[in-house]
Amino acid sequence: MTTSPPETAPAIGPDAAFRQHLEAGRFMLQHCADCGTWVFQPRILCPACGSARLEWQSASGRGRVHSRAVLKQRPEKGGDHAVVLVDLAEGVRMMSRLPDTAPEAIAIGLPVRARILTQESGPVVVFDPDPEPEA
Amino acid sequence: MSTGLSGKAAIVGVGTAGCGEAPGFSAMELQALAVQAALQDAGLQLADVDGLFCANMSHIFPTLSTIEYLGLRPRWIDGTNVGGSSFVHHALSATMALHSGLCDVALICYGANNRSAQGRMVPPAEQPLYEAPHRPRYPMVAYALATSAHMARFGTTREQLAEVAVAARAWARLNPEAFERGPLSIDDVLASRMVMDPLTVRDCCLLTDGAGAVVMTRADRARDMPRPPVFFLGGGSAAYSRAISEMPDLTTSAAVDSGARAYAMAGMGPGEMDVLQLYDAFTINVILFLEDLGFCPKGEGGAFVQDGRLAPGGALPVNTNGGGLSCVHPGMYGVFTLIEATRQLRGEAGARQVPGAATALCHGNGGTLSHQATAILGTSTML
Repeated sequence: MTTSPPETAPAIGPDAAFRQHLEAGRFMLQHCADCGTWVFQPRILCPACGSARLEWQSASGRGRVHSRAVLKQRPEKGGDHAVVLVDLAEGVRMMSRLPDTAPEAIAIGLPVRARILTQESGPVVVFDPDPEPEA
Repeated sequence: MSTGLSGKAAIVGVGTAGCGEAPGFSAMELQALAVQAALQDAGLQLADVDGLFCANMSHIFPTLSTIEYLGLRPRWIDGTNVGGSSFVHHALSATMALHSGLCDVALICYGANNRSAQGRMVPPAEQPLYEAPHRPRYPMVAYALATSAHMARFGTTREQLAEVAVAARAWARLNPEAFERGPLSIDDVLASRMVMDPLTVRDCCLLTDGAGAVVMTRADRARDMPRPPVFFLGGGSAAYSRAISEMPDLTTSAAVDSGARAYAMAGMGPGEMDVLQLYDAFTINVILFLEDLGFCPKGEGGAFVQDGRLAPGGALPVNTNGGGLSCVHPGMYGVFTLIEATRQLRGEAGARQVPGAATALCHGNGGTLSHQATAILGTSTML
């Protein structure tokens, strides 16, 4: 009979860890040491295999716009507001936006690069068009 | 594997209240009026109800508030809340509870007054943690993202999406209970205000007040009730995620699984469905669900809905009450799919009656394409 070794709980939860990494200027993703799946949103257990061995690794920051939607608003209400889903090179998807890009220039398939933007709610990952996309 | 549930319970009463605008009424009051109507339809009293199934967005504990307000003492309570699909899911769990003897009279109910009370759709306070910082406007943003993906991947056009809205309106024009009954053309939809590109205001469901209630009993008892019973033939429920950013494939919903489970239980397939009630929160929903429920191949939903196929006189009657797009949408529409299917299968749908309808597929959508529930109903000739 074999028994699994007791899992060591992380010092802080993955939500807080993700945020601390962003506050330190690092965009990190979890990677499952058992099945190799990249994981986002940050989790305790790998949703692909159930493993608790999720390890933080630097994200490539490279991705493509998977889909986009544009809230139409009058300028006095803040103007048009585009929200995107970005597929990162690692294979995870996240909701984000391109703060410095006109909504009409955001097309599905657009190569993008991540950066960290500090806003009122805290640091978030946003994107810009990638001037040098990988093939 | 057979669950032994097919045909074991039936809808014996339906009722609505306050559909459209009901100023001066609370959600609980509207729900009580719908319950009264459904019980009257079934020839039953409040005291007969011993199983309660409900969900809403206005109460933290919808079942407890409903029990208190109506003075119920239910033997079985199910407050599963998976969004607007909850009530279609409840039809399956009510059948389970009835069949196993946990209750004898199941009440499924819902009421809301968002239009009169708030004048807007009120999204739940808790929203996906990793989406909220980007200020997404729910629920529209999620359906616009799915629509954009479907258009890019399959070439679905805004004209095809507009066909869904136009068909719903054509049915609504035959339904005195529908909220929007004015004429609507493809050009009208395309020219209407863009609210969340690529969705116009006419691609989005209404925001109305309204309440609905459904009463179910075991099949043997249902035969002695005043109205023709509408039998529960099959049901299925499925979800993979809550947030739109976590949906595995934006162009395929969990309806693939909920539908397959419902067909398997009923021993039927899409070709045997006479009338469909598909939760049309947005025009893309109908296209996705027609694909996912097997009425056309994946990616061909846009072409499938063209030329009025879903409209009165078309080959496949869909959302015969006018749907959430033109009849009623108080925030959670699912219960109304069961009510309209029942009216069609009883042959009491008036000018919008689908002649000889003996089977109906009801499909509920919850959250932002998050939860899917399918129920197949039929007349006694289908047992």
